[in-house]
Amino acid sequence: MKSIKKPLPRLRKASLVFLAAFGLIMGIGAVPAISAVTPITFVTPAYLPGTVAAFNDAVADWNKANPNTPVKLIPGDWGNLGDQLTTQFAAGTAPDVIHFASVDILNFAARGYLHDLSSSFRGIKRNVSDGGWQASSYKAKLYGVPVIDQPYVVFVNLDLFKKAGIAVPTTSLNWDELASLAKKLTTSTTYGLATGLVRPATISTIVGSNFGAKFFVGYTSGRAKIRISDAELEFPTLMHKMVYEDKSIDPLMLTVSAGGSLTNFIAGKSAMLLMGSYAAADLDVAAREKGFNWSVMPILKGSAGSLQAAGPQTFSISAQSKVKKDAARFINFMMQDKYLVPIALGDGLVPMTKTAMKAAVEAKKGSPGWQQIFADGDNFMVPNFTYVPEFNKWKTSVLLPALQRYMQNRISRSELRKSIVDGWQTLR
Amino acid sequence: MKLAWKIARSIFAISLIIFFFGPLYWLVNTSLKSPIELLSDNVQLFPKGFFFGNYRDALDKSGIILAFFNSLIITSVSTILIVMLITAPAYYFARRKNQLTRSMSTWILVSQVFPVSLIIIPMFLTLQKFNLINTTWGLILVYVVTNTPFSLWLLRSFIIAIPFEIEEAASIDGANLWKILYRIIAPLLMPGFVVVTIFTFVNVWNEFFFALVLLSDPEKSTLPLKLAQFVGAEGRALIGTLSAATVMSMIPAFLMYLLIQRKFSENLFTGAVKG
Repeated sequence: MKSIKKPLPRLRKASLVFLAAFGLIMGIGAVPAISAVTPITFVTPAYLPGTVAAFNDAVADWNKANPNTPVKLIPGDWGNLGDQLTTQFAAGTAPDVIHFASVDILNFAARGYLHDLSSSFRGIKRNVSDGGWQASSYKAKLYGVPVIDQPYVVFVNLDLFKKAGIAVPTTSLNWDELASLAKKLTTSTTYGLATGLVRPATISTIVGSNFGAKFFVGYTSGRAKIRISDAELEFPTLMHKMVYEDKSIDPLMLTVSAGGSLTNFIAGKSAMLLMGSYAAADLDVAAREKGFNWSVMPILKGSAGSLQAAGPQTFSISAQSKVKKDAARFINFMMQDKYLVPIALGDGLVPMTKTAMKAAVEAKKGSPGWQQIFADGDNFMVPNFTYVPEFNKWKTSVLLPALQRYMQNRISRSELRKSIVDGWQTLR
Repeated sequence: MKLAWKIARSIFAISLIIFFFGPLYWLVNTSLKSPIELLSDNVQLFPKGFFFGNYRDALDKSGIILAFFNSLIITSVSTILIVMLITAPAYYFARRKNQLTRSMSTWILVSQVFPVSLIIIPMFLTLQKFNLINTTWGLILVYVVTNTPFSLWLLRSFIIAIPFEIEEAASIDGANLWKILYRIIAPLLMPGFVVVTIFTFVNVWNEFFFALVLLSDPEKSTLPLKLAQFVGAEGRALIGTLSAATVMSMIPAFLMYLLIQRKFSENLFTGAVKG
């Protein structure tokens, strides 16, 4: 019976300890924060060390200069900020200033959750590229101040080009020329081009603009109609051909994301890499640590030119904010070149204001690769599909699986087209 | 034949070890790689040197220590509250068979099928009315409410397994219901408490979505929220720092299991009825 008698005192002791701890924590939690001023809350999903440091510096400078309107930085994360904001907007507790992406904020703008910034930021309009400005506007009103964006560029391994005796192009190639260059650079040990094709939807929509891909028509009337012509299928068709016919892309690329293609490129297994400009930050590490020689080709051009769909990161103000004027002042403060440049370089992206772009060019003047990225970063346009409600849902639940099946050679081009169109009808 | 069986068993055991420990090993391995090793596409079973920079970055810059203590407090309080709250109801559900217990049991099961996304906004609005948004207590309350049904169900099944004859004997000796519950059932229920504690602790320790939506103050962030902040868009991530932070975040749950599993195995095979 010993075991029956023992637990009660132990239980009593444990309960007392627990109650004491409980009371203590309750007491701490119940004490309201005493603060003389209400801070401007600013949520950002920035996570790379350089960018985070730049944000911290900017906020510290602001708080020093504006002690009566301090800013409180709230770290968010890219994968979940949308869900977090959806709940906070519904409950009226959204942060005052929001750092997010244009493609996401326009959905919130359409639902009336964001403050119209048109009048507050008229002054910097001339300093921002048209593509970036338009991509952050909805029904002619600005809902996000464009901050930074990334062009898709072709990185080159200078040593492999040299070994093949081929000069790095100094003028824009078209996509067919890229394919034939990749073929020439393919040897028994290296492939011509690397690009992560496990999730080919985003890149297909962004560089599709090179071929005049629109994906949807009639979006202005609110009744978007899907349109999949040859232009929309041009990019996946070329990638498919390079994998299966030309054999200038490693089939391994069908199973890896952008990160996987980057490591393949750094390992010297591919001579070129098609990827977002952010790879430059990692290539700098590879150059520093193992002498990797890289550069960037002039931006590619398609039948409709060299413009790519813009999807800038933006600063917005919540319509629920009680400190809209101060929030706008803070965004203006953040848009200074001295903050935008480190924010952009920390992320491996390009700044959206012309003056910050000039400063970034100056800051990276020793790197031909970065110089080319900045030059390529002047080719943004507004994609029509930005304004199509449910575009993101269609992209991930219809376009992505269809493209994956096509890239894996499980369906034909005509089946791909049918699958994309039928998927949209079902989604509606 | 015997040898073949032994070999097959060993292969199976080794496969299981690789299956369960492989990902854990890979995580630790990744956390010790330098930035340039992380950019390599070669499979490296061992890091070239022990690079602790990822651990330093995780500890220095991310507020992960504060998040660690927040998680520890929230998880411990939630777990203790749940175990305390469910014991008596679990006993009632196990020992009484009537319309109420039958319908409540069904309701407990049904309540588990509602997706979080369905309940999050009403829950948020309710907590807001009581000024519990962005508070540690609001989150603890949510964890207690959401984890209680399954934990109760789990503990109930342990109580059912305890022979009723023990209670009858205690009752004949003059013990009332409370004495039976806390002096007879509770000690025999130790394996059940251990299972519920481990289950709830790990569940709450890893929970992400409620914490994401209910907490906006960085000083109140829990560990899973901090870990998510090492991940960027389009599959980008600070892999080294993320791995180091994940390794550190696993330690409490691991220690908890080590400490408690001895109790679990001690009690699991203790016979209650002899003879």
